[in-house]
Amino acid sequence: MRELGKLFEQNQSRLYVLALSVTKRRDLAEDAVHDALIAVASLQKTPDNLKAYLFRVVRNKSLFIVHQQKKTEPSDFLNDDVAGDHESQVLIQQVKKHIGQLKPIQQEILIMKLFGNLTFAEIAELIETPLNTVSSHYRRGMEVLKMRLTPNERA
Amino acid sequence: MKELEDKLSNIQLKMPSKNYVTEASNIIFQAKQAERWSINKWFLAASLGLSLCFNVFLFLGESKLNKPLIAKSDAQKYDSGYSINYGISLTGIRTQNITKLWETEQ
Repeated sequence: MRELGKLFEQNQSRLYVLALSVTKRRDLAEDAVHDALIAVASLQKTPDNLKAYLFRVVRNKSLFIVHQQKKTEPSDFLNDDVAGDHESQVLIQQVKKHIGQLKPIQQEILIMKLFGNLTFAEIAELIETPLNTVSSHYRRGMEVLKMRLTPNERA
Repeated sequence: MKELEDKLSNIQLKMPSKNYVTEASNIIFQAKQAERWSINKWFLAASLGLSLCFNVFLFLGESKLNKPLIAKSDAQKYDSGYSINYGISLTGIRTQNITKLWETEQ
């Protein structure tokens, strides 16, 4: 249990970003991390790789919470408290609107990379996916997002 | 794409609330407490189990010899040696000797 406490202290931010990338709501992301901690703490036997296990449980809990949601709540994962900057406000609203139209895995990777400032290697570790797959999902997601955000440039 | 990346990287994720860490710490603290209680519980159960076995052991030995090994008047005298002799008597190896010893002493 001491190990779990230490692991949370070291990775509290990454756990939150991972959950937020799936749920896209702050409250749900926090719930997912807390549910995961309860689940891991109640295990009779500590898994061999506790860190990987904890991240997997957080992701699964987040997916479960999203699945449980009966109605789609508006996403609430970006800090839109940018006072006076109209351009940024508009961009945030557009990102919120368009990012939800990407594939779920692309959404997760884009959120973690762009806004959570995680590296591809870290994301690959968190979602247990090969590095090349992560980077190609990111590239495709960015291409789609760019087309949606700047439709005029395409024409 | 680089330009868009630069623009987007200025946007930050919402920070978790203050409760995020507090709640998580509570969960971990409670789990630690539960783990400690669980260890104590096993220790308590083992102690009670051993105590129960020992009492059954004494009871069976007493009924096998058909009289109380610890007589009230001699209780102090034989206090230290009885439990060991009792154990041997239960195996059926040295019952006679113990009885004899008891009778001699009586």
